[in-house]
Amino acid sequence: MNKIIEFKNVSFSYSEEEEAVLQNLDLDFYEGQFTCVLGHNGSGKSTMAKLINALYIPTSGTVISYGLDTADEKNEIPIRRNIGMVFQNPDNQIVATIVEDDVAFGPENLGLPRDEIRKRVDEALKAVNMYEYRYHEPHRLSGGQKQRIAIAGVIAMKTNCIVLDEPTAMLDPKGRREVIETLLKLKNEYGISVILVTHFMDEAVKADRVVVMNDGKVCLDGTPAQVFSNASHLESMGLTVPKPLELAYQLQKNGVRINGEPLTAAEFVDGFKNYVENRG
Amino acid sequence: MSVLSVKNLIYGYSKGTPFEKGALKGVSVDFEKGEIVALIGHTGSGKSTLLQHLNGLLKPDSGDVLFEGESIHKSKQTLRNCRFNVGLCFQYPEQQLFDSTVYKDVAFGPANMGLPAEEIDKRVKDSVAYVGLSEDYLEKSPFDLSGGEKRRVAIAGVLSMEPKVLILDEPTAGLDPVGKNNLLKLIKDYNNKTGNTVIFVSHNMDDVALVADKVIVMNDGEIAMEGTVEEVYSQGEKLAGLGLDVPEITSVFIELKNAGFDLGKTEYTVDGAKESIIKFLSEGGLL
Repeated sequence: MNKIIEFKNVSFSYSEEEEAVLQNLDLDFYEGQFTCVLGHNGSGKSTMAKLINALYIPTSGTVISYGLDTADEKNEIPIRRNIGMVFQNPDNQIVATIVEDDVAFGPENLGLPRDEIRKRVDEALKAVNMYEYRYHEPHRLSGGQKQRIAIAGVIAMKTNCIVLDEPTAMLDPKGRREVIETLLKLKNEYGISVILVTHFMDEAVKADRVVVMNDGKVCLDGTPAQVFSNASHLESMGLTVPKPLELAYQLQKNGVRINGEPLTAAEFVDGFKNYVENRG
Repeated sequence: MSVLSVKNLIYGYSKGTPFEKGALKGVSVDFEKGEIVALIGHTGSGKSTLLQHLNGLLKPDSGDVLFEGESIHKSKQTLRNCRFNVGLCFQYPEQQLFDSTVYKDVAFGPANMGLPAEEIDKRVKDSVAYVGLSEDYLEKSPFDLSGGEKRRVAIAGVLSMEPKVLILDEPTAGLDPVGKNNLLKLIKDYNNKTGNTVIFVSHNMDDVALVADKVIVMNDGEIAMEGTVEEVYSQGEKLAGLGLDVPEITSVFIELKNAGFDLGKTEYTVDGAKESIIKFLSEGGLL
């Protein structure tokens, strides 16, 4: 798989007096993958996200995004055209008073012809299932809808990669589902690489790869099943494992072995069926 | 007598405009002394509108709110009394910090109550300690603190008024699992120690299961379900029908049932689920 982003021995601190938030971080991201980054508050995950598209520059070490060094000022614009960002608060990232104007903001700034902008805005709104809201006022939308507008704004720039810093933290369960389904669709149908920073384990379960950060370093990295098999390690870092898996562990202690590290309710039921069939 | 009761509350937004919307359609509910009550419901179900009626921020179109048996809208005095006794902490309360030091910010409420300086000092120190911050924080600017610390300062600002009813609108939103557990523990401790009523809004069903005595589910401006955690959570299908997340363990039980395994009542905690599954397997000779 193609490497799109490369952290090489990266350290970062917000000021000279303060302790480093990231310490000698080595981390790569790959094309077409849905990667989830987990970690408690202060683990350095948001800082890491902002280093990807040159919002921050490393104190030492290098970040290479799409072959370009983020520390070089002339790379800033090409990098940001490749990598779009979505932040936590839906109310802080909408600039226009009509949904379609907001999505058009990026392409307009690229100086594209009108027809091309029209085409991109329509496509982007359809991709996030918000096309029928194109003439609405953003402030009357729900949090999940606003976040999908923010994502459409990124897609309209035809970016290859989208980085989201806790985009669902302020949403209700329905809004969270809408955003995560949208991200999965972007990855599967449009081949967009997704890097999702989150606190929610049930979102991480849906990723191709999970990276767990603690104290500015990567401490676990693998598929969701691999990462969540380290239950006690995760708990020691203040993170939890998905409840179906926790239940499977508890049952195992009582001699009931549910196979296959179930991360979701459906997987648990499959494992349970297997167990009963083998016994029956 | 209930500490706070709501009688047939009706309220609509943007009345007389094309955006008119009925937010509360006849809500009646009693809050008892010493209870921890969780209020759940999807966005737009009327939760926040209801909360804002509880200390008289909104005035109902019809119906009434009684604090210790007396209508809060009876006079200016009763309304003022209610504001001091029903402490409302909004969503993202850290956005409402305003003073130059933590001490001054937390002292704002008690000072407005007209308490003597010594009492204010005691309350500020107690409530800041209560939310788990050391005395070193008192002279810091609240704006230099981390997100989690700011939230605790904001909550201390409400606690310092020693309200008989503490209301928190989504107190754990945006916190990581550790910050969330600390805050839930704080809610439980506060309730245990003071015997005061706590009402909180949450989207997280697992959090609710951990601390609430009673659960109220709102839907479309009405109360759709009300009861103990067990009574409400055991109706997993109904919750899902209201567009709510059910606890993950509840979905395991619903799916087990769909797959033909009838384990009796729907569990919602890992421990309860374990017991129930072991019992099912041993009765079927499958252990």
